[in-house]
Amino acid sequence: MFTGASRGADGFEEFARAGQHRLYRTAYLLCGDADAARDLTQTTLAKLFQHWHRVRAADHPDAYARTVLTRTYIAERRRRLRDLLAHTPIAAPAPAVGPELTVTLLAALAELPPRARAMVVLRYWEDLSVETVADLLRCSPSTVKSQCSRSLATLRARLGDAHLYTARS
Amino acid sequence: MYVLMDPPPGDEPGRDDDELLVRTAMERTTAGAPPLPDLVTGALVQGRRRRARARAAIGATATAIVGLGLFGAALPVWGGDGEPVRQWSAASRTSPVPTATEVPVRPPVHIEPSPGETSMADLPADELSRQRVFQNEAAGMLETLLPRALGPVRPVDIAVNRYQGGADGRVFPISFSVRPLATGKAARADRPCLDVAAKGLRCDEVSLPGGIMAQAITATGNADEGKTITGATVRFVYGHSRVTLTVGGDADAMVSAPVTAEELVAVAGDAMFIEMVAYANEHPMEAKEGSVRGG
Repeated sequence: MFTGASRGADGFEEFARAGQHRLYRTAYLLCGDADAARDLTQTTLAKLFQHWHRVRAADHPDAYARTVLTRTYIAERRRRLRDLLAHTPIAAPAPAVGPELTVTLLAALAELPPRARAMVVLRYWEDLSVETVADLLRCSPSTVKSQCSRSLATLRARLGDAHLYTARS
Repeated sequence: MYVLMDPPPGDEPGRDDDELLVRTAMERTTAGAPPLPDLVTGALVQGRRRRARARAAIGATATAIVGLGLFGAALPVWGGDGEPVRQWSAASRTSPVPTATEVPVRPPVHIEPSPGETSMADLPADELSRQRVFQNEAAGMLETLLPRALGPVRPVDIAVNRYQGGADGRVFPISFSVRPLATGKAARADRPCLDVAAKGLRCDEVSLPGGIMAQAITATGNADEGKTITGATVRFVYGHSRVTLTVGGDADAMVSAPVTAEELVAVAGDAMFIEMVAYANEHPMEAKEGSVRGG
């Protein structure tokens, strides 16, 4: 995670280098493939550099970075909706190839709408509170609770089989 | 660390087991993600480009303000109940931003601009103020005229033509654009009104009050896992501007726009809507068609 130690006059590189791997892992769960996750991470870092004076002044630069990452991801998905309204059919991205459980998780996450997916990743990967997730995604805590509950059920249904498969092998 | 194949701990209820299962799967998945090359150098290059583009956009807009002569115009203002609350303009006053007691201020929704995209925040202060006043009042007008399911309508701070409606977690993107038509070689012919069944596209030619011909469009498409959502658009030419009102579905919740193209036609024919369009036609808020916004 990022720390305040890199808040020098020009501490962006140290800040980014320390945090890029964590951001990338979150992006990987959001996007479902490595290329898109790298693009999302780099775009996030570029935005942080563009507004570095604001990031440096923030109380929690790591939280600021996570917010930029998540909102950039959601904005990208919204652009896809605009493409849809411009009559361009959109194909869902194929999940990455990998071990059975990884494929299953990414495929299961891909079934969730973008905001629900972001909620699950922020809640269970980033380990943020319901209130923090609600604030970050500009919705009510009850929305986060209900969406996470539904999403958990979906993921459980998909992961359950993989769990058994993994346990038997 | 607890691993997936272990029995779940103690007497935790099933929900905790589900959470643990998901957390563990996430740990395994991210641990198995392909290695990450250093992204910092690329981010610095991209970030510097973003800064340069933002500076260029500010310069271009400042030039446009001088050319358009933006001050001193009368802007119609509506209150939340849809009735005109005053006949004079916020834009004509010494202080361009109305106070909360005069017009309800709708806090804009913030959207972080993507690479290559400019935001209203990049505008010079005077132009930003002018566009925010218009956007705030347009949001009130749209909330009054559109179906209740789309309320409250809020401006989106990334562009003057972007709005968002819906409550209880629903987010319906709304675009209300009055954009000057291109002239000369950049002018383009109007797109024909065509039905394309294969793409779920339906288009009807309709007539608005005053004999204005418009296109009412319903677009259906696949977004996720074969589920479909529907959006609606009405568009027409007014004066020397192209007017477009679009309401999209909630892509996250996979819910179609709670308005039909026919209802949008009724909105577009309302005197309040036309008055707002007429103002924007005379005092453009957007770049002329054919020009590139943001670079």
